[in-house]
Amino acid sequence: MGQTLVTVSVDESKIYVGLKTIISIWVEVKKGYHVQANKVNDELLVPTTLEVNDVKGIIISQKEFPPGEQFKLDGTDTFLSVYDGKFLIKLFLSPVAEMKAGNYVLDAKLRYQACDSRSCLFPRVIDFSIPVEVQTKR
Amino acid sequence: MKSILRFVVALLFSAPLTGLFAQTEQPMIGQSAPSFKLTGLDGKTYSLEQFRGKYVVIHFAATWCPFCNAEAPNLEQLYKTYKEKDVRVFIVDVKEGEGLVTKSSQKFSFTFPILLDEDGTVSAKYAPEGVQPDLARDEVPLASNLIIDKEGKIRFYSLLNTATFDAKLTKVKQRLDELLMTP
Repeated sequence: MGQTLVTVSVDESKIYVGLKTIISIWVEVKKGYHVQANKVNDELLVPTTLEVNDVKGIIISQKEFPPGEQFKLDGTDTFLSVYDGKFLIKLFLSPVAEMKAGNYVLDAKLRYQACDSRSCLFPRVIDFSIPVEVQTKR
Repeated sequence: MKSILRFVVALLFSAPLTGLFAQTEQPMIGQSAPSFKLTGLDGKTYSLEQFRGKYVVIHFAATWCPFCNAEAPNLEQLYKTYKEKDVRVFIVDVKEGEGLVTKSSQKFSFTFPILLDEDGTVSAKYAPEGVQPDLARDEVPLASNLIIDKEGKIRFYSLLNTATFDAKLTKVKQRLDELLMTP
């Protein structure tokens, strides 16, 4: 049950042993909806988060979310920090020196909580894969 | 031919209007409020039936819901204003654990009962038939407010999808005042 409000896509990526590479994860929110940003201004809200499972030999050094946009709740002084439309999460990966060349897949989960201007939906999780090609030489 | 044309034109104009009225109408008015028995954060069991003879205001909420949190201080204020007038106020928290709900309750210093609908069964019972069919039934009533009268009938239902968000609860108070003045 439920509409598809959020979709995730990952750019095909080559990552190089010993180097830090950015993987682009694109998230698209259905028109008319927004999701809470990664940094929320109320601890009770559910921020958008990315969880990536470890693959031996690939170091996940950083996850970079865009800044949120301000959204005012009608009839209140409450402002929310949100994402709408299409936004980019940058994932920084670096394979260790001993890593063998080849194709690898990292399993990931995007958690979000969506609202439109009149209603809010339960938090949801999207499971997706991040395929990477490890190369030993650039 | 002219009369057929008139009928078609009338149909064209009336269809969107009918849709508009259907959208702004409050659902389930005059119907018996679905019964429930839930445990409160205070450990006590609450059933709707035990409040027959009183007006009951119910707010369906979740701790992560921005609409609910914006309304929360005003709900506490409403409770304090009306508690001497045979009005009871409850929050039915939907599908969350006690720990999280306690944290939220402490943040807003609620002094009325918070009931835990941990599996969403009660919330689903209050989802009006045919409204937001794309959503899970227990998701539909989130952030809405109801007034249930002394006989257990629904007298006010501001389902957010059909009403403008009213954080200050102006319309709930207005309706409560009307009902309390009715002999």
